[in-house]
Amino acid sequence: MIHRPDSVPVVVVGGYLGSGKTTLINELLSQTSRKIAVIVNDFGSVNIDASLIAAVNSDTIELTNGCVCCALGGTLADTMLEISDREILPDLVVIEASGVSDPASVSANAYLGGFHLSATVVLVDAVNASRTATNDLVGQTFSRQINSAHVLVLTKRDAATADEIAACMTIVQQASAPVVFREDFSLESLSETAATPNASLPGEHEGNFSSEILHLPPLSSVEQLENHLNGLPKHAVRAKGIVRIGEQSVLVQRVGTHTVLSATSLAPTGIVVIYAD
Amino acid sequence: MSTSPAGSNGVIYTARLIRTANPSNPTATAIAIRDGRVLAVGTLEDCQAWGITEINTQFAGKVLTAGFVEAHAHISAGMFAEIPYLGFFPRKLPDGSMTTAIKSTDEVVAYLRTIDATLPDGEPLLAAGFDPIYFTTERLTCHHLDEVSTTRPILVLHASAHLATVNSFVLKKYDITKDHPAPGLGRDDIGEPNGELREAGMALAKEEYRAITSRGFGPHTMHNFAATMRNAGITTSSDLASTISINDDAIASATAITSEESFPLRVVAATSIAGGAAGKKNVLERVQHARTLSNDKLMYPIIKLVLDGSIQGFTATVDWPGYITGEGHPLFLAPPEQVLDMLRPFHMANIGIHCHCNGNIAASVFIDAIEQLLIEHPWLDHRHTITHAQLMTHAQMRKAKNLGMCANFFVNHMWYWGDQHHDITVGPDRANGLNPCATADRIGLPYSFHSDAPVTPPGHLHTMWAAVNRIAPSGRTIGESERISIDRAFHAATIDAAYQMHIDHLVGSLEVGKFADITVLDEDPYAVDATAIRDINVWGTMVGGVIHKNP
Repeated sequence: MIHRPDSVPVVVVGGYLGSGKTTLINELLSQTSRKIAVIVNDFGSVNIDASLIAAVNSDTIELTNGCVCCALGGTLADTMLEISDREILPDLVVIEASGVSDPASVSANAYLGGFHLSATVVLVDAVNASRTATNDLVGQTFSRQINSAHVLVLTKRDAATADEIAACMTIVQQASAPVVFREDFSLESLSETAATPNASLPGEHEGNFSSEILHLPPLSSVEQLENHLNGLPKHAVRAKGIVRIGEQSVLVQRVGTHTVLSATSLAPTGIVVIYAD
Repeated sequence: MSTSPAGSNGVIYTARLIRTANPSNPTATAIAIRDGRVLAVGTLEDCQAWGITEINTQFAGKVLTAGFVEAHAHISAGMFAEIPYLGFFPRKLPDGSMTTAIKSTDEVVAYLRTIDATLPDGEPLLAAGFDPIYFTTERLTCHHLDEVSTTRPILVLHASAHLATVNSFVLKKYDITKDHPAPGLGRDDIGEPNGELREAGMALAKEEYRAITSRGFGPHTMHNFAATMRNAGITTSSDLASTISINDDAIASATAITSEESFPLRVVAATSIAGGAAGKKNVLERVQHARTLSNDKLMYPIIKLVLDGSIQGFTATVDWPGYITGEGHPLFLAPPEQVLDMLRPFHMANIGIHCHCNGNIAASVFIDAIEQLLIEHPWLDHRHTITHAQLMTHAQMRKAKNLGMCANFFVNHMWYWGDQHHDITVGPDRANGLNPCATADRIGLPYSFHSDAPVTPPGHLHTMWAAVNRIAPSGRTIGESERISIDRAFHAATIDAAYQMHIDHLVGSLEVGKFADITVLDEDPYAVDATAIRDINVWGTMVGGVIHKNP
């Protein structure tokens, strides 16, 4: 499906307890110049500078930079609908999935009217991954989380032993999503804008990535495009560009294994693919 | 409604039989009530010893019992007074009328047509309680609902509340077409949406979804809840996952409503522990604040935590060997390693914890957390309760007993889903051991049982019947050895339910000094054939000596 250009992208941040979801979201809130709506389980864990707070309501905190934090009161769907009612829609919605939830079920909320799923990012704590994976209580939950990721982000590598990292890699490599390291990843880098694809992708340091231009034959359908993209090697973490499908210009933005297409009036540019090395 | 005048000497009611749930005086034929409390229970002569001259004989042919206490229900139990009900099993509405049992897709269409005919143009048609698990007819789709109307939105919420079916008008209204990418869309063989909206997908029908799910808390909700419970003979009910304590307006409204003499129910409001650390701190503060505003008919002695999903939804955390058919999707709704930290502040504040555990893995997590909390803070009379407790193992029950915990069994499952548990969820052997009341007695674990209304229709005549007979709709008895006597069942439905909510000093038995809360029945549950317990007519109730006759 090709989205309208004004559809609001949604990023789901999943991962088991202690995998670093809140830290990643705090980093985004401190860096961004966009109007972001963040849905969190708990206000208490979000690091909001008091000077940034414009208004505090029972279940939302409005920030002076145009961002808003929403705490989950009813269902996630209720909160998404409330956001869709806002006078000024956010540029991006970030949903922090609870540590035991299945990000795939959470991301179903990103398809409600006016929104589309940009990506499901699942964080994996390198220190504890193998222990969590084999835990009787939550092993299955953990495995579902990993398998629902479009991109897997390995956190706490500095604190992990070589054995822990090796065990963690064995686990994450069983999933279909590409794996990137936390130091090389930021939510800001998932920015969905119509900016030219040739510009550097912020947050993705040159050292650990390489890129190439994907040359596609003339496309007549979305399925054709999807087939090409799904044929990319697994370590293709991002792909971005503008292609023509029939007579229509389409902005292509792929995160890991998930592609978002939106209508655009810009001229085709080809697709840049970024590989994690 | 009638009552003895305030400040009067009191009134004596005579009855064919009174069952007190008080083992010191288990049966009686007269009860004296003064100031809404039990003054004496025994013979007419025993009661007259207090010098009371007013004798009321209107219940001379009735059986009076200690008022039924429901420890796991929800205020939304009254919802079917507001939304058409499409359930397979009929329910009694607040006005006393019975719903029509809906047993096929054709009957759904026929019934919705009658409602359609009463609605103004353009108004949405919303219905709930639809439960096709029992149907042998074809699955409900937008095409069936289009036979009802193509000019107004229709949304049918299924009983599980995880699924809704809408008509083509709704699909069109929200531009839900073949290429819509939402994962929660049901589709036909060629990929066209068939009107089924699953989980978050229900919110695609934004306005109709909101209209049916967020009717919110209001005076009408409270009154419909109380009337539904009164019709079932319940005099005290919990509202688990209550939203009453959450804001001052809701507390004020609920306090005012329950203070009315004509309000026929004592409500135990159990707020949910939700959110992260800050959220929980807030819940504790709210509950403690609400407690200062308690009255005789609105109390806040316990809180609620939900730990896992449901067995029939295959989301309960079932330990090895798991589900017998189909793949399980065990669901923890709170991280197991955080449960201890989540519960600690409430335990420290001496607030009873009722934790939803359908699966035995969830039960272990909860029991282990309570063991640790007792080491840290020895509240000796905590009575923390495993609610649903359906799949508890005997080892878990022994440990729970040793720790001073209680169980609240979802014994209505033996009827409503007994065949499904036998055939497709856990299989015959574990189905025999579901909701193991008799084993709880053998072990000495205190228990109650519940309806989880609106999940199943409320009423302890039904739960007692289910616990005594364990009969499923197919006619099979599931777990003969877990059947209990009517005497045990009656105590589980009254005093033992009050015990696990820390209100057994107030309600649950007809004992001198306690509230005069009475269920008025046409027949004695001990005397009728065991299979007929659920058919006994409930005449009405008395709450604090105030009579509430059912319509």
